[in-house]
Amino acid sequence: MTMLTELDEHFYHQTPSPVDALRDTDPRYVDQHWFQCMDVEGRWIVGANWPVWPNTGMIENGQIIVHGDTQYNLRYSSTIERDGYKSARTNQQVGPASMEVIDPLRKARFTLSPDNHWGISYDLTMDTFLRPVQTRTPIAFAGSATLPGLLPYFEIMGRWTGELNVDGVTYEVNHENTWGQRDRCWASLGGERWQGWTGPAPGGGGVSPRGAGRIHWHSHIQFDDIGFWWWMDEFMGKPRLGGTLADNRGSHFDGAVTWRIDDPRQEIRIVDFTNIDIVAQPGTKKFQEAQITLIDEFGTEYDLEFEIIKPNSTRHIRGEGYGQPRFLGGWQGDWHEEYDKYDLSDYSTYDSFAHQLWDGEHAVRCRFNGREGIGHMEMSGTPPLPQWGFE
Amino acid sequence: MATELDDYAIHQIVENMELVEGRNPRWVDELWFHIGTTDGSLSVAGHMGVYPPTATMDAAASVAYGGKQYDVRFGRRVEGDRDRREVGGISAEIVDPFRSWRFALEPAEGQAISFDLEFSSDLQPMEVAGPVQHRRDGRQVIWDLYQYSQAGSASGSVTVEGETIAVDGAVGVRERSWGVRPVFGQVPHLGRPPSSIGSRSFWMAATAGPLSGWVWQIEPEGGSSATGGLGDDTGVTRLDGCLAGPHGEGDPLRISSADLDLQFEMDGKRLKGGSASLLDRDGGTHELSLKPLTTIYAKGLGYGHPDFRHIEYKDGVAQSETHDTADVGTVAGLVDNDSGHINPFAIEHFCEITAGEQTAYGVVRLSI
Repeated sequence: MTMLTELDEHFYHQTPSPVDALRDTDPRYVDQHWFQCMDVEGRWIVGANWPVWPNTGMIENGQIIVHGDTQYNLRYSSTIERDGYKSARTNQQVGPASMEVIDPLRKARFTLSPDNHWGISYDLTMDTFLRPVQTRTPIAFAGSATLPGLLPYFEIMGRWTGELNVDGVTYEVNHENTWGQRDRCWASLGGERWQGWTGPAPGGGGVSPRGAGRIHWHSHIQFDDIGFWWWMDEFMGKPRLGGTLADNRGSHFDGAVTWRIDDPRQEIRIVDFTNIDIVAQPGTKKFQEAQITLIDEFGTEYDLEFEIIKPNSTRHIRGEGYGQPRFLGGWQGDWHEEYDKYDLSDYSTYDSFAHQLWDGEHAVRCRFNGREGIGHMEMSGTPPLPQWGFE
Repeated sequence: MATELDDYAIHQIVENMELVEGRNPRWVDELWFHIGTTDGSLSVAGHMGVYPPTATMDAAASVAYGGKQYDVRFGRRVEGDRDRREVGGISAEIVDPFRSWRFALEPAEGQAISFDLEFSSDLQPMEVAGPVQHRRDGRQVIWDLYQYSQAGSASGSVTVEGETIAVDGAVGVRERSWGVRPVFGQVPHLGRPPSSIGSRSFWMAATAGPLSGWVWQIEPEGGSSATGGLGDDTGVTRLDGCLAGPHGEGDPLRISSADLDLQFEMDGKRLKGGSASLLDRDGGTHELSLKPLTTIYAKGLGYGHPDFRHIEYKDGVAQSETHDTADVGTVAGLVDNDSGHINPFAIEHFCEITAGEQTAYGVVRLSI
């Protein structure tokens, strides 16, 4: 049976095989879209991931819709069925969800039809606002030395249009009230799923190194004329290795200053940071506010401050499959769907979906040098972090 | 750095789309086509290749008409746009994947030819059974290539020295291939050029009605009666091929043997006529008689051309040539391998192919 698809008519092969028949047979190979968009008033957050696993013939989709104090989750997994010469790798469709890249790097559309368990629907399109940023090196996984992972990764920040319908409420989405970002990565994915095959791994096997005294902070921050992206995994008080995300034996960091997409200025890499402070909501480990000073390749410092838009303006990505035992690469039959929801106002249940300090993907207000902006802050901390009261 | 292509989930390796597996500088993603009129008056052939490791893309076209071969060749730099199939005046548009392509050469000052042709096909692509692989002397990888071809019809127009020829009901074959390709000899200092890839390479794709066929046989130096696939590197005769019907109607039927009896012109390189006896995997035999109608010398497309080397960086290059193919000396120059190029497809013949009562048309590509 042929593996030729419409993609093979194009001039973008990377190996002497059809696009849908990878030469590297690694079952961990994944090519993924991901996005998160946020109402600037904190009324809702929507995000989803779109992993395609060409070597195992699967496509997945995890949906999270945070509305008020409730997080709704939908998770879908499907085998890829051949439909003539069509390929499932572009213009993806999984159950009620679909996505398409309308204009590469500039416009992408994500939809959810209401025929899902929660009856939520949306039609959301992101227009790129700031120039895309790629990590300086692929991200090395903290997994086994004998089965390492590698992940090229870039991110795009933008403004959104469309409509969201949730809990009987319709929200009109426009460039002024909804900001967010999407990213693209493709990887030979390490991670928890493979640790049983390879024995204990010093870094815990995830995308980021893990261990006591570590914070993970990954942010996309937008203002009207400037944007910041960075990814850090920092073992507080210990030296950083490498200076990029390519060395995963301990602390590592990468980042960039980017400009509006029509601004001709070149991106500036962020190479260091200082003055971190993170504050939890009183009596909890939930994120409240933070500050950081970023240092660029020319020594310029950028003082940034953040505050969560509302106490529960957080997406918890377990809802879209991360950390779930069977999602993100696990075969669950030709078709599988799951749903659940989290009551974000009930702190007694918090540990069931957020294990670490400040855990989650927060929608934050940002301040920088007199500017007001909106950003995304993916954050977690592992005690002991005594400087912030967590032993 | 991310390019527009990286925004699609089409990666095959954990690298940006501008990079390819292994970084062999002879990596190519290429198309080729040959369209001929069944009265034997006109042939149009084209090549377009992108070479990601050298950030180069080139394209060429040849027209055989009125006893002459007209060639144009272009090169450009690739800057995050390897799937933009436009080089100089040549463009190749995917109108409908596997069903329709448009090949065009814009007219230009000082250029004798232009064309606008649409290739259409209701027939399945004919795909290699496995990658074409060949390692010479145990070291240099000559081939590591994937390939498919497709036969169909073509229409449009061709202009030659001011005369516009309407093309309707012509037959075309096209090929897509990608991977490491043999261009030893064309790019200097890439190791000792292998002497050859075999004693004879015979490639044919043709169609008659709702059926198409493709066969490629490479006979080794010294001869061998044993047959293996195109990836068999043990010194046997290499063979692949299939018979394919319309889209969605069953899998192609593989060819399991090919017995060729070919006659050549005095130079021993151009086909004069011949026959091919093909055996399919279901035991069916197919007796074909070959009659060349037109000839295109692939050097015109850049294959082995000493001043237009595929792969090599050549931003902004534009070349145009006209050859009197009735002149023996000119033909001798076109078939001469003065660049030391290893080319399995040096000569292209648009052919009438008869099988009993049935008449097919297609292309034979030869290298001796």
